[in-house]
Amino acid sequence: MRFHAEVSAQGGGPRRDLGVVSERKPWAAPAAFRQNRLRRIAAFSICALLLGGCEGAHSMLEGAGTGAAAVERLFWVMLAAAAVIWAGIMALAFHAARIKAQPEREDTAEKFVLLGGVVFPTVTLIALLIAGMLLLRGMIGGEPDLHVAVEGEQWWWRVDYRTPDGDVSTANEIRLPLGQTVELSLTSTDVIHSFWAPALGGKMDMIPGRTTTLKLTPVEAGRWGGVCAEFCGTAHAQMRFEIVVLPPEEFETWLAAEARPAAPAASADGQQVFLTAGCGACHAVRGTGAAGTAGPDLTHLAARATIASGILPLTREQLRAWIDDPDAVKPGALMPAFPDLAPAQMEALLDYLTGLT
Amino acid sequence: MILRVTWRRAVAALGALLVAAFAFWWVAPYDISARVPHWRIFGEALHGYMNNAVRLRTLGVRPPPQVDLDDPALLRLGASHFLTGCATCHGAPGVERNPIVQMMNPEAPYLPDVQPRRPAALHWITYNGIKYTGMPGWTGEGREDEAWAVAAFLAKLPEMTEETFRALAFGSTLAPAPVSAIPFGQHSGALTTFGGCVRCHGSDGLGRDGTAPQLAGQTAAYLRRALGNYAGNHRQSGIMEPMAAPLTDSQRDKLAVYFAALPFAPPPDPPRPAALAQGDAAQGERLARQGDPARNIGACLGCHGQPGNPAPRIAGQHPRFLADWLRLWRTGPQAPGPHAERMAAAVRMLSDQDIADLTTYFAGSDSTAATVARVP
Repeated sequence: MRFHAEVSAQGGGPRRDLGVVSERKPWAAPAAFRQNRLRRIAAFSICALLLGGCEGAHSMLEGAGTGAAAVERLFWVMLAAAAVIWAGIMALAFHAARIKAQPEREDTAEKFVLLGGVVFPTVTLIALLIAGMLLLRGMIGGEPDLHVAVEGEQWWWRVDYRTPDGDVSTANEIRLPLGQTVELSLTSTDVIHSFWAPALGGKMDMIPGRTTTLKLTPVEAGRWGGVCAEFCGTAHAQMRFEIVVLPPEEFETWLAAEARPAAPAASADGQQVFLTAGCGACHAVRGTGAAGTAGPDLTHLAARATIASGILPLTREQLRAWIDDPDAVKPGALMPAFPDLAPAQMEALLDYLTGLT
Repeated sequence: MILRVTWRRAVAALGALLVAAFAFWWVAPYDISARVPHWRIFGEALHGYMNNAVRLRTLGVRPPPQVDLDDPALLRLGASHFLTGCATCHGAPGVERNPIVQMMNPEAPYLPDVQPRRPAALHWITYNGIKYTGMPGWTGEGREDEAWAVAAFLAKLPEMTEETFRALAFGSTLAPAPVSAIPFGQHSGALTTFGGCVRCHGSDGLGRDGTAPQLAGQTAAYLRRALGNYAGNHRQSGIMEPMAAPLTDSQRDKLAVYFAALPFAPPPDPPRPAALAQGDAAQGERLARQGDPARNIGACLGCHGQPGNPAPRIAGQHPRFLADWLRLWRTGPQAPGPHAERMAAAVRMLSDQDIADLTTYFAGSDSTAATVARVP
């Protein structure tokens, strides 16, 4: 019975191997990992980074808007339910591994599969879907107090307000009044972008040729971060924005200031450089004759906190670097470079731009 | 006897063939002297190959929609350039070639006597040239548009009298004395440096039907830069490069100063060539003043017509000239330097309709008035 002998010899092998494995405590880290401090530090850092994402201007757990609060509620409910289900399944698996196998009646097994594998997930998922739909309706329905049009472009955000004193166009910084519901009309001129300010509310795609809407009701004043959440080209990761939530009276003051034409030039020479160099071909500064529309309106540039779509603080140095070579700051940026400005021209231009309050 | 083909024999035959070919190359028994004609069969084979190549490469090729081969303006441009670049070897109506070029082998055909090919074939040969024949390619890299003017002229060449040719090539401003044979390396007539400019740009500097731009009222700095770019092969044109390259710095300077000083008085609302698409001047004005946010089109007037900006004056330019150059610029920078990069960025997304609208606006008297009001 050579055949049997072989089988038993093969059968003996794995059992011995199992014995070897069991000598090591199963929860201990592999030796290679234990010895590699660098890897441990790296893993720790990544965990720390990930946890760091759970708070601050970009956190959906911050609850700075009613939309975000609703999303957060749903998140916790789902997390809790998922934890309960996970614990149940684990308990079941543990139980199944422990009990002695014994014959079951076939209809009991079928009933178990039908209830646990079909009815339970169907009911749970439908309940979650309904909860999600209701949540979504709450996010886009209702009468808003304010309209703001936001257009995603490669790779910045055009923000337009309509006011009785005239249209206001700004970029990459959306100011909103505290406690009021704002309806954002979202669209795009080139590719699909996605508008997401996690601390304030949900995420919404911006689709060329269509207008989608998103409602936000900020309940906490402050500066909140936003990002483009749909890959849109080389500088997608540098397409950011800020939402500044202000008390309503401060917001009104700001909006009225934005509606006014540009402040008198802080540097007449700088204004001359701005016009002569051709900045006005793409940028408007209301009241100067510069009426370009391809790039951001710069009428009140200095009232904004950042440039280059939220990636750089608006300082003299950053502005200089940006104008000199935008592509070096933000790869793929569509603004052409101005390396041909003489140093004196550049300084005058910076005087002018930083004076556009 | 049956010759059995085996691998060994095939390899041996191939080796013998290679050795024979190398021996032919090394001994060079075929006479390459230009004084001796080709063996008839060899000459016919080469010529036939050329005809086949041109036919295959122009299958289904038609002139672009904006090119009207019967347009007199295009004929004039083609005739003028033929005089500069082609007549030395190919002759001209009523003018014999210099004996030197008649000794070329293959001999460049005396075109006034040759039944012309299809316009697409004329265009292909004009732009590409032909290897091993002495026919050069077009010196303006990428300017296939220019070669259509020469094709238009060549298509009409056999029926052309000497007087017609002279009127077309020299313009109405000059009437050089006829010559019996073309002096080698020169034009088929007495053409001064200045005459070379004004036959196309006009002695008033106002251009001629948009095949050449208006130079009057541009800044001298711009004209000097343009001439320098053409001369240095930094700006592409098969027509302007051969004119600009032989000029000395001081000649370029004098010409720039002269034309810049001419009064800017374009004819109000010149007739639009029929082949150019009609545009909407109001749309063109909106684009010129504000650009288009959705397509990142820069406002033309943000640079052109801004006092102090080095961009050329475009208001009042002929729609044909503007349309030709906007089509070029939207494919990329047409000159070196950051200004050219910015121009290319501003017009990258222009559609054909935008070009029609813009050229309608800028050719009109409204834009001229707007620019004149801004620029002293």
